[in-house]
Amino acid sequence: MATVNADGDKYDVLIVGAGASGSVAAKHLSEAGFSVVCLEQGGYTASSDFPGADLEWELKAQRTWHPNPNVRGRADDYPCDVSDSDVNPLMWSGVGGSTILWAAHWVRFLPSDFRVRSLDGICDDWPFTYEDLEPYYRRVENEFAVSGLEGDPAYPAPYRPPLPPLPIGKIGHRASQGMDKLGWHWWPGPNAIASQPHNGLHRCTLRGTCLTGCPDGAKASTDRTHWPHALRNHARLVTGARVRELPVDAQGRVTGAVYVDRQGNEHQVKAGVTIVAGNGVGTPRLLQMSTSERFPDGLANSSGLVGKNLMMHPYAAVVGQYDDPLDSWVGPAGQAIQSMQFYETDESRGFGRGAKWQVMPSGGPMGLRAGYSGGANEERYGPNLHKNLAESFGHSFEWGLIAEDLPEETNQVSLDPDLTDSDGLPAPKITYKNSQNTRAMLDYHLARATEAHEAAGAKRTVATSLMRDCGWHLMGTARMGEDPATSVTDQWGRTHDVPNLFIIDGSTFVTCAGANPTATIAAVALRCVDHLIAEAKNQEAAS
Amino acid sequence: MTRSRANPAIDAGMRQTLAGLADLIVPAAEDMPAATEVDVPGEWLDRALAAMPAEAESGLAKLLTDVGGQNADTALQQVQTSEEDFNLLLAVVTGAYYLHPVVRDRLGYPGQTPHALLADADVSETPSYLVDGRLQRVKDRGPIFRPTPTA
Repeated sequence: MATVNADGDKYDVLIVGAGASGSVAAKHLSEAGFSVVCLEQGGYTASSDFPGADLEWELKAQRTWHPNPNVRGRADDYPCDVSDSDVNPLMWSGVGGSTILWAAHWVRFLPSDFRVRSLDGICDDWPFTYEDLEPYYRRVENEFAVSGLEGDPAYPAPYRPPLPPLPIGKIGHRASQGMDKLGWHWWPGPNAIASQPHNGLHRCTLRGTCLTGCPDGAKASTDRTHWPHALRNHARLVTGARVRELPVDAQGRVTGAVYVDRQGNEHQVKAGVTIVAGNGVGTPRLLQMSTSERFPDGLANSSGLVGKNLMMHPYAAVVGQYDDPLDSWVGPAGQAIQSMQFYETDESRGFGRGAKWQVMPSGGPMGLRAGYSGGANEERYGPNLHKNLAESFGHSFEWGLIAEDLPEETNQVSLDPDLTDSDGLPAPKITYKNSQNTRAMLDYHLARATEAHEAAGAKRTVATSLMRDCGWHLMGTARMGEDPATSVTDQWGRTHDVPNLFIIDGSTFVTCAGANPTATIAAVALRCVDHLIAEAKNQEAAS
Repeated sequence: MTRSRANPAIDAGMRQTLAGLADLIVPAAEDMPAATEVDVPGEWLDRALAAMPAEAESGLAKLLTDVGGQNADTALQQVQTSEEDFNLLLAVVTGAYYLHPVVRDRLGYPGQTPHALLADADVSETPSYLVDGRLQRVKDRGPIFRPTPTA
């Protein structure tokens, strides 16, 4: 029988998860004078561990630094059952969460993303608007060292990234020439990658290995941008702490957490308020593990929606090959340019909503995404190997397409009946099917992206649709709203069922936009935490 | 450059088998060297396997044992009857090949290195897209977003 150790300290706030949203919460709550403890199942990753400066970088990216935890299988990872999913969830367990491996595209949602029901007659509106969130975007953009260019007509003015844009490189220049010819929108891609020293980050060297962590300390990851501040303000960070349950008292309030350390011992942490920041898979998993007499279907789940409405941004890409050398391994990876030309809904296209496009570098000879190939065998070896590589390597880049998928309750995270993690806790089961709307959207966007390459002078294009390893963005599984019957939290992240339990990550998203979510996750987290701080004297807490 | 320790799971006989297969996978052509010219079955195989999943090593050892003793063309035909084996062979051989500095030099690939120009020019100078009118044309087309609806 495991030993349960009662932690003598009681904190004002417990945060579960030290990723993007948890880190924002820890920084700001500790700065406001709250006593904060954060439990993170993974550990720290030193920038010297990242393989980007290694000769064998591309090979190491295929396993040890792969974004799919089922491929990576590190001690800090937990498995996911994806047998009923078209998409594999991609994430990292550790201080910084998935910001350790993210591509750092920094993309605000648009005003229409918060009003999908009002504008397009489908899904639901968010309980706040772009204008409500805009001040928080501005604040977190400074924290995340966002490099970009003001004046983008795809966004309401003013939108002034704090740092100048990174170079768009030969690939960005070539891609923009095609967009210019077609009269389509493009803009230098905003990146949470420092173009000059800022908030503890160094200037980017354009190494282009962002997706396996930044060895140069230039990419924003919250272990670097937020935790130093939180720790200076006496926040306590416990790593290797896998939370298995959030207990509830007789009054229906969460009292803190029970977690398992790396030696298998159980501990209890008590806090007045608990914030869950495990994102779209981790958060519903924990709530579903936290059953009780009061919450037999999972903590804060009277709506039945915990785990449901999983959205994962199906991804497709078109690679274009060009005659002239483009040095297309040069970073950032990161994005060179982005386009919102086909972002807003146009019903004449035969589907609802849209997709943000981005130009990314192609990586080394093994390819930025080696799993995308799938050409005929004869093309892959012999003299054709050299011929094909000479035509593509350094001469190609991809237009990547992030499609907005619509919330469907059948797409969900549940507890697997058989699969467990290394501590015996039930693993998440991902059930996700691409919809007809998604397929129609991607078909349309792939055709347009092919046109964009052709306008830029591509001599050959290769389209890849609906790839499995694309589930970077995990959203919707504890949605926010005003009605407790149809939502899990209110607009401030407070769960309807439990007055001292908050969720502040991407699982609260009502719809998912067609753009990278981390900017919005960070802004929403800050908005929730600011409100918690302002209303602290009225906040119910566990005793 | 430090040489990796020789992988003991791949013995001399297996490496000889691999040499024949590797030169079919990566022959001398298009001004590029053959795999054995850059010691793919030797040091570079060891470096590649050290960076790849453990299953690559065990899978490769089994594959080479299964096809050993045949001429290279026959061996490759046999490997190709299994998609999994063929993919593994390609991954290991090309993974090792593209590590070699001579190969990278022929490709014009310096590796994922810090970019020399950044500190000097790219961030401080005005980007060309602001000078040649390319971005101004985007601005001149006006806003493309739908604003928050009123009431």
